[in-house]
Amino acid sequence: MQSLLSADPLVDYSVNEAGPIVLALAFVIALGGVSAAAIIICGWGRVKSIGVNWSLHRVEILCR
Amino acid sequence: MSLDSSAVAAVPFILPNERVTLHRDIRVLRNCVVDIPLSATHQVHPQALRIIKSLQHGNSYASLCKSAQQTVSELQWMELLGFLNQRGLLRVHRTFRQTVVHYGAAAKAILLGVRIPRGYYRHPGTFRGVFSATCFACLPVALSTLMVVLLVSIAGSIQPIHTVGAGACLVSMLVCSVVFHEAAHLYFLRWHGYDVVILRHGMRLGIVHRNMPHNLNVATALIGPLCGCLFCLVGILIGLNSYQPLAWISFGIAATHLGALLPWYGDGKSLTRALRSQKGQYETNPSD
Repeated sequence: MQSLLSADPLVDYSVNEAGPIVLALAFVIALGGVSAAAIIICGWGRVKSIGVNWSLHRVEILCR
Repeated sequence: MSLDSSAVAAVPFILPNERVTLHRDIRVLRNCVVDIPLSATHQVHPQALRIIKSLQHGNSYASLCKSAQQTVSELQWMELLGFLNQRGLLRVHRTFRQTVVHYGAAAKAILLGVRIPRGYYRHPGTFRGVFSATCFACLPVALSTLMVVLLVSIAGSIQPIHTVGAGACLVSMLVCSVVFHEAAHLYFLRWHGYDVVILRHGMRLGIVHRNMPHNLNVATALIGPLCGCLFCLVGILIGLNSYQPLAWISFGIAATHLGALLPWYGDGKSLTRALRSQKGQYETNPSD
């Protein structure tokens, strides 16, 4: 089908800068996910600590 | 010329009773539309020009669709809308009630598995424009941080005051460093005499300008991430002397600014493209 438009080739309208914002959002969502998991496992207000065990590559949740 | 499929796919989600107009940056001439700040001239077929003129006056989406489909096909109408949307030249006006209904309908469509193209928003090429575009782009991060702060406070593992402090540091460092990053691009381009417009699409930002020589493209792509990193460096130094979480947060954000130089997206992609075309230019013209 015939196009009715011909864009000016001297201007590039691409929108592609999102790195820091998207990564920050991913980090916050990951933190939120771990916190939600801790609340589900330990119960309302009963989480003692949340930490990451880097050598075993896992998150450790301690309950009161 | 055949239809631009990317423009057809970029038609925003508009409800029939919402009012649609054109952005004030556009001027409609005899056989073209001009993007005034960028001096970009887009050639338009007379049939489409008639529709653009009716869009300029503004009308409800339903009546615009009805009148457009009397002169052009549905796909051509969608291409026109997507084309204007991709350039931030389409404005949709909603009342509060219409906004609530709009987001409800959008949520319902998403739950049904329908992909909804979002609108492109245009901000002026000024510091204020950069700041407002960045604030809107960072809004999802700010809202999710608030929710996580509440969640962590409920969990009871960390004192709420520390969670609130870390959350506030994260959001403010992110917004300020992205503002520095984009403002560096903006002022560098303006310093070299280029007019600039800022486009926002969801969480993505773009500094739009006319094509430039390759060396200027390389410098523009480098200057933004470096300024973002420099700002974070100040945050690291302040954090090391006063509040350690600030140092860690600044370090993480600095890494993401440097990550923007990776060749797959954003500044890194522009940089790679500029370097490749510079190399191609030298190969075709070895006397340079």
